[in-house]
Amino acid sequence: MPFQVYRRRNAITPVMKQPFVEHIAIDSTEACLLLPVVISAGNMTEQEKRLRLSSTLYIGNLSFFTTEEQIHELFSKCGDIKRIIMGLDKVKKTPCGFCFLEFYRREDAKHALMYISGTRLDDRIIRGDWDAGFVEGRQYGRGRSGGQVRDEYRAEYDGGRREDMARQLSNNCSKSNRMIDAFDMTPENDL
Amino acid sequence: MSSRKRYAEEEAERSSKRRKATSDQAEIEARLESLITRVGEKSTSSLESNLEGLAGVLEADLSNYKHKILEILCICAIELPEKVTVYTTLVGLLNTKNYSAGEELVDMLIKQMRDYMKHNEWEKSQRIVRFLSDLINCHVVELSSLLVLYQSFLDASNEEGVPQVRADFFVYAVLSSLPWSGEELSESKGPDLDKLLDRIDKYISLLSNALQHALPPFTPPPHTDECVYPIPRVVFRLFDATDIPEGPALPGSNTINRYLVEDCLSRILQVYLDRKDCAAQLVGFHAKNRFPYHYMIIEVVFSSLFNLPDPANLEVFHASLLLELCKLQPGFLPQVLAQATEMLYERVEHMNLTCMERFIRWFSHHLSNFQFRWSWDEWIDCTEKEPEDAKPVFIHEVLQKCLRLSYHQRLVETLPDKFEPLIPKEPTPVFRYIDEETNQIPALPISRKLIEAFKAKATMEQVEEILNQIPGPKKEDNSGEVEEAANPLKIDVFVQSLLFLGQKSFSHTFSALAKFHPLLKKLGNTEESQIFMLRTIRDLWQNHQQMICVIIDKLIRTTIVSCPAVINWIFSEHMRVHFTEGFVWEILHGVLRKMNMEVTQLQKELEDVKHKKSDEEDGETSGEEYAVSNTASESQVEKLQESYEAAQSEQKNLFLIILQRFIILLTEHIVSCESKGTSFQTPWYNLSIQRLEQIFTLHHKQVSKYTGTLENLLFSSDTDQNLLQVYHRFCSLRA
Repeated sequence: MPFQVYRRRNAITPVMKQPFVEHIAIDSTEACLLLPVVISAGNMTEQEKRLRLSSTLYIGNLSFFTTEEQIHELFSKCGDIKRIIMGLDKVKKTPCGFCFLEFYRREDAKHALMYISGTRLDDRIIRGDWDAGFVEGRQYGRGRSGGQVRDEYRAEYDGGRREDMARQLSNNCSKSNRMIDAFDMTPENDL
Repeated sequence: MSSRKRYAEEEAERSSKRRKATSDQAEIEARLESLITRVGEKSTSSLESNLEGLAGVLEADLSNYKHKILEILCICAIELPEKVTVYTTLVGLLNTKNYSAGEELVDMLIKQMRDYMKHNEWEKSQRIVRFLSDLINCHVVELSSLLVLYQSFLDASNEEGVPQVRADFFVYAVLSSLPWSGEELSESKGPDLDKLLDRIDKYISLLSNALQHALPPFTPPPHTDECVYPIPRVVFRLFDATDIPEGPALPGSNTINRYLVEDCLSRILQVYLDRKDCAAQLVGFHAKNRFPYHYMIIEVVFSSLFNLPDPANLEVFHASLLLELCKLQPGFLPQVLAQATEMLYERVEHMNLTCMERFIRWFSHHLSNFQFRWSWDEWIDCTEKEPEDAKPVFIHEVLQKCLRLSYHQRLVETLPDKFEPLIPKEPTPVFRYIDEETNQIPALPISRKLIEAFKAKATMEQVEEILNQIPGPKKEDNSGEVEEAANPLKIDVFVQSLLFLGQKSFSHTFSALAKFHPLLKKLGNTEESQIFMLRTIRDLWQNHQQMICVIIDKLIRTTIVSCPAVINWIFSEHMRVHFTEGFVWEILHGVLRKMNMEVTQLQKELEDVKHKKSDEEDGETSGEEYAVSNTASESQVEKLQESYEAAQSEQKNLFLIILQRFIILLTEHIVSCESKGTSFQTPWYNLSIQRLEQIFTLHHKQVSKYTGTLENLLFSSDTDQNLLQVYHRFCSLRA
């Protein structure tokens, strides 16, 4: 895998104030975007240390319609979940296909990678990877349109990631959209 | 050249040689390890010639690497039991070439076996017995001395005043080794076994001239109270020969062949924890052409999943492994798996409740990976039964889980129309304070004001002010002082409005709870008011079980409600309608698990601190610095000790509450049925008594610590016989 090295570096993004690349590079177009990233070796070890202690995972290739509840149910099979932070479209504030998932125990996160990553949720094969820990701001997609960079380069049609195919989430969808204002999705620290 | 310089140069040269030597040595050792561990894997040449070759290599290295080689062999004997015959043969070949190496290995194994027994690693010690037994076939161990070893095991099982489980272990260890030594020992013949052994016999006959070793005398370590023996196992058989349409026949349920194949496959499950490796190993099983191995693989995977009290592997591993197996052999495994599922469904009525719940979790998870496609029409019979019958209950619970992994509309579209009554309702909130035509809900205006305030991001004080417009019922205590009693209406309006507004996702709900945490704590200041709060939550989310579960988990973690409050709520009248439903027990066992984790965590911290302290004391004890750190850790230890003991007694208390509530509930039921002259064994009773049993099953490690208290307080001779039976069954697992 020639792009392996970029993917590793990618995991380092939380140190930087403005993360500007997507977390996982799968197709070559995206990997090209990552080329200019330069990170000092000092940060590398610090980051690697954090990765080794982390109980947070990055989960990708989710359908835009997959909910936090579904993710919670599936990954709870590996252990108690501390929090889930849904990746959101920067502009529309709607899910854009990834999330951060934090377990209470690292061991459980490891099992999630072993037994859940690579299986299906909402008919899509989801992928997990270690993450150094969520930092505010990282929940937003970094593509020009607000979503993930990857989706802007996608050549083939992907139903689970098209907004006009939106699952009918019943009529309370519009109702609850208004409610976002009362309790916004900014993750609170655990009490 | 000065002598000093020369010395330095020589030293440098020596050290570089040493370095080179160590790295060379490490390299050779690594090579030896790889050679030994890989022998017996797929290869172009025959196993026999590979073994001969390897024995030759090892013989040459024995002079320099004897200890390392023997150590690796020892590890292989324990960690790679599926290749036991490969390694015994290798040892046999080595023994003919180097008698003393054989002797040392046997001594090493015996010592290892005793150590394992001392550390309660009974299974590993059993593997050594088996290895030693097979060594008689390779003429490494004397037949008579193996008999003496067996004799010492049987002696251990005849000791007086030891638990049955200890005796069981020693007998089982001998029995499970007989397949390897039985033929030699008794000359009696299972014709199948003979055939199997024939080939090996021919091959190893060339070893017959070797000198053999007597096993050193062995006495099993004595029984102590710290000994924890393996829990009795149930032999799990799903298929018999008539279930398999074609191909090689399935050996009978009680035959040695069935046992041996099962043993081999289940070891693979224990050793290969990576799902892909494990699936590949199972499918590549060396004797697969002689058995209907797809069937045996599925049987072994379910046997591991349904093992009681705990699954033999992590529960989610089984689902993941089965997905991998289906991917690896799409032409065979899905069909066999479907057949197994069908058979389990047909017997679901007789299934142990804990196993059924694992079955439900696996099946729903599996379906979610296959677009929920299933031959649902063939299960249509369940829609015509009474709703409390096992099959419809099973399907309903499966669909509850499917709903959580998917969404309502999808289930409605996927399942045949006739399943409609079994599909859970759409998981939307049932909000009490909503405009009705009659508009007679008392606190409706308050709720509206609250919602406006939440939206306007009002402060805690402003919200509390609105809430205080509801007059609280006052009660006078004996001293004549007026204090505010729990106010159900206040709690209801606030909690319902708050959570209704946070309905969009878990994150929104958690965010709402976090924002008003102090107010929630204030409202739920007594156990009574906490139970009101739980009622309110259940009423709002009665169609969204997962939401109830995660909210309660959050409330406990943020100490808004206490564990006993949750337990008492579950056993309250209000929850009677849900008492037999899965999610209630998910909550209850979640509470116990959290409690258990806390106790374990504190115990670990305490041990760590004590350990550190004793290290310090062993070290240098001079200087003030030491005195300071010592006093600090002294108070630290004390504090930890206190919290640990508090958590322990809280945990014990929880179990006592649960078991007591069970006894009251079930005894009432039995008495009331008897007074009416009807049978008490209703579907409700059968499910509920299994829920009681499940407390023992899932938390056996914890509950077994309290048997003394339990016998004094709860399970005494006055207790109903039916309930006592459940308790005695649990005790017998360790007796």
